[in-house]
Amino acid sequence: MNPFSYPNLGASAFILVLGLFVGLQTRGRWDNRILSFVAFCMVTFVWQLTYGIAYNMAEEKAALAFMRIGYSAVIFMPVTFLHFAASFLRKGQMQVVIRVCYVLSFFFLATLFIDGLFMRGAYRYFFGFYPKPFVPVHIAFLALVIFSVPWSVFMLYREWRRIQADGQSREASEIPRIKLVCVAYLIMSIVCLDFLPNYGFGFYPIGFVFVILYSLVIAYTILRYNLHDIQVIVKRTLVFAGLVASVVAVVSLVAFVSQDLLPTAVPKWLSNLSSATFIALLYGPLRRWLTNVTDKYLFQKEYDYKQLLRNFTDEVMVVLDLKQLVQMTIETLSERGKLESCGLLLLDKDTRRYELVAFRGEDGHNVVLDGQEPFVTFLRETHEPIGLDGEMGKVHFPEQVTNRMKQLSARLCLPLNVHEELIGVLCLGKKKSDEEFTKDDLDILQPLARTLAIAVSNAQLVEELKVTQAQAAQKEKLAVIGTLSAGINHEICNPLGIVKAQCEAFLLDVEDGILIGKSSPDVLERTTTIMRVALKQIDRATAITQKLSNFAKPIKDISAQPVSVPQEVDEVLLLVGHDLQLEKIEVVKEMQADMPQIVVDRRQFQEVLFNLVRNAGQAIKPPGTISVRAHVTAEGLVRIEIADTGSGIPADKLEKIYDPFYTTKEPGKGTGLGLFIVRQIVERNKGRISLESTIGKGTTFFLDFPAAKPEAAGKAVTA
Amino acid sequence: MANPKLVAIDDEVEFIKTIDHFFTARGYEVHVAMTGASGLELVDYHQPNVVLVDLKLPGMDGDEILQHIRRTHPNIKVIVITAYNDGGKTRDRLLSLGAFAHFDKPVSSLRDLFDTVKRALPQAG
Repeated sequence: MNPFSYPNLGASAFILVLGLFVGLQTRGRWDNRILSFVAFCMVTFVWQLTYGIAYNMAEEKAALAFMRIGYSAVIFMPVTFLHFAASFLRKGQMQVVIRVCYVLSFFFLATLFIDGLFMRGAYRYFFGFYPKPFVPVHIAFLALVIFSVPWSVFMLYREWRRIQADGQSREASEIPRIKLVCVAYLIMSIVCLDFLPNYGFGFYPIGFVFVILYSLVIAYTILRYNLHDIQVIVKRTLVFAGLVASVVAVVSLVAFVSQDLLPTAVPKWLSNLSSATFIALLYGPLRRWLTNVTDKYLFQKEYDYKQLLRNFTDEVMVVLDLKQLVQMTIETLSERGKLESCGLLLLDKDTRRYELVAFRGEDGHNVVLDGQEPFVTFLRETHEPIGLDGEMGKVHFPEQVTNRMKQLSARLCLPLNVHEELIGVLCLGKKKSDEEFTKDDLDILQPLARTLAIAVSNAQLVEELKVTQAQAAQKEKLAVIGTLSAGINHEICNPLGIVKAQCEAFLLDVEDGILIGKSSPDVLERTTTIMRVALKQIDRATAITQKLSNFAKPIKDISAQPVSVPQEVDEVLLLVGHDLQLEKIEVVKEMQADMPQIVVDRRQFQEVLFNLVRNAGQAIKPPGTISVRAHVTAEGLVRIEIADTGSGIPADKLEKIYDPFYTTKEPGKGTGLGLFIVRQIVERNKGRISLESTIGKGTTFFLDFPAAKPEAAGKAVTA
Repeated sequence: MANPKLVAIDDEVEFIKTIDHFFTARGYEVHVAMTGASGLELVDYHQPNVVLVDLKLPGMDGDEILQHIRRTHPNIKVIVITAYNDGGKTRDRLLSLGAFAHFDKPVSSLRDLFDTVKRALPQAG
């Protein structure tokens, strides 16, 4: 048997089965669409079968007989093609045209069986006999083809655009179907290439590939079954067809060159070998190219969706804020993926429970899953997505798992794993298009889930680091308090010492009889003085302990309020001033009169001043001077300057001084967090920090804050 | 014997006032200073029997004052008051530098301080 006939015979059998299947499946609701499709299948079946048989005939006459039968079917293909398109679009007004086409087809059928009027013998090609038509009549038939095929495609395309333009149309759900039929018709147009061997172009007609493809698309469209998968089938088949066509082309070309063009005939094995080499070289790149082209032009929307999700994978890696990351994930997936709902469960590392941190969809959910819940353990153990759609849906999942998914409105759940740990679950709801999740979706979503898992775990690490930084800042503050011992002692112990000494001195005076002989007013004056001193000193000690405890408290949120700069400077200098004085450092204060207030968190602002003054003190090799100045700049900003007469900061170290843990102090003297925290706090309070430094002369830090608006300041007064 | 002379150097004005009052009431001639430099001037001028000095002072600290007095007036007794609670390290250092006595701040007992000052005075007869 001629191997070139196998595809035709196979195609005929396939299409027969397909036609019967669709017919039987739709029994009871047969309409013109279905009947015209079944008719098309039968016609195609006859065509492919008889041609397949004809390729096997040794005699031209016998082959011609079969091809006549085949052609009788081919003659009816254009009209059934048009008929289906018209009935699919419910175009009643096309009836006349269709009838005319049927009449014409019957006319051609009549000519077919009159010897020499439609067919005039056959070509003998390498694959077998192929009809040689009587040109004038065949051209007329081709005219019918040229009318019906592009006209059908045009009608479908126009309808598709019309519905699409009319966005709110109730027919919107028809779009995927019309689009598919339109694509199918475009594919079918390629079958027209099979007419070329009728005119002496001796290549192997591969129309059967497109016929199968076309029939499949239409069949599935009719059955409305798994519209999404069909696109994959169409794509794969198209790529496959392209590859078959290329292989055939290469073999034919090489055979033609080696046998007919070269002066001496090349041995057959050599030409075969070179064909094989060409094919081997071309196969990979060609396949990739064809896949891309089909994706890009036939499945534009699909392609965009995939491209968008791929871009998302890139975008997601740069987001380090967990909240933002979660929000972006949910929004992007539900918008670009056109999902009805989308949610993200994340593991809470403390409670070991999975919490729905974000959800987008109709019903708001509040779900917290225990770490031992079957849904979670299933994902943790399998590391595989759970899908209720398509192929995945055929797998049997425990009922508790599927119930949980329903509760989460999810059709597909993807585990987010990092180092074998299930850190979260991505839950995707139904697609708005009613399409199902397919393997193709998984091919994109699984890498996306892997990337997302890494991104989430990175963001969590950053969050933890922030907490650690805050703790380090707190430690630093406590360390600072430790180093302030002299100041604290001075400000707490001295007042206490004075009170104690005053009281003791009085009692000892009594004991030693010193007060004997003194007048009552004298004694009263003495005691009054002691009481006044005692009260003043108690107030002094109380104030300092309050300041210290305020300073030592961890900062949580900013509570901005109008604050007077000179007042805060005084408070801070009270804390550090004494230590500086002891170290022979003079503190000079220059405050512009009538300074506007600034709106900052008071404690944080004090902390900034405190750190800068302390740093200034440490930069100075005594004796030296720290100047604290405040004035309003030309731009209306309140500028606070803290200048020291230290050694200055070398230019190469300037850019590093805000880095965490960067320090120029001797080991043990500073953790290096000071300026890093200072800058964070300043920026958090909508201020700016800058500095100028001259080697040998000293460094000046500038703090710029916007002046408080008068009404804000007024509020503070009434408060 | 003439009234014993005492110079007290401390930057805490209320403390100085208390000392002044207390010792004056008990027959002392008291001179007070709030900085090291003026304190040393008083010492040079009045040649006191005893000097009470705070360890931490602006300008010049107790260590320097102690050493200075030991050099220039070896017969003047110096009592140092410190706010450091470092387990006696400072006390030992000060005593080795020639301090007559050492007191923690706040002074736990004025009576003790008074007795110590009294012990520091040259014994009559």
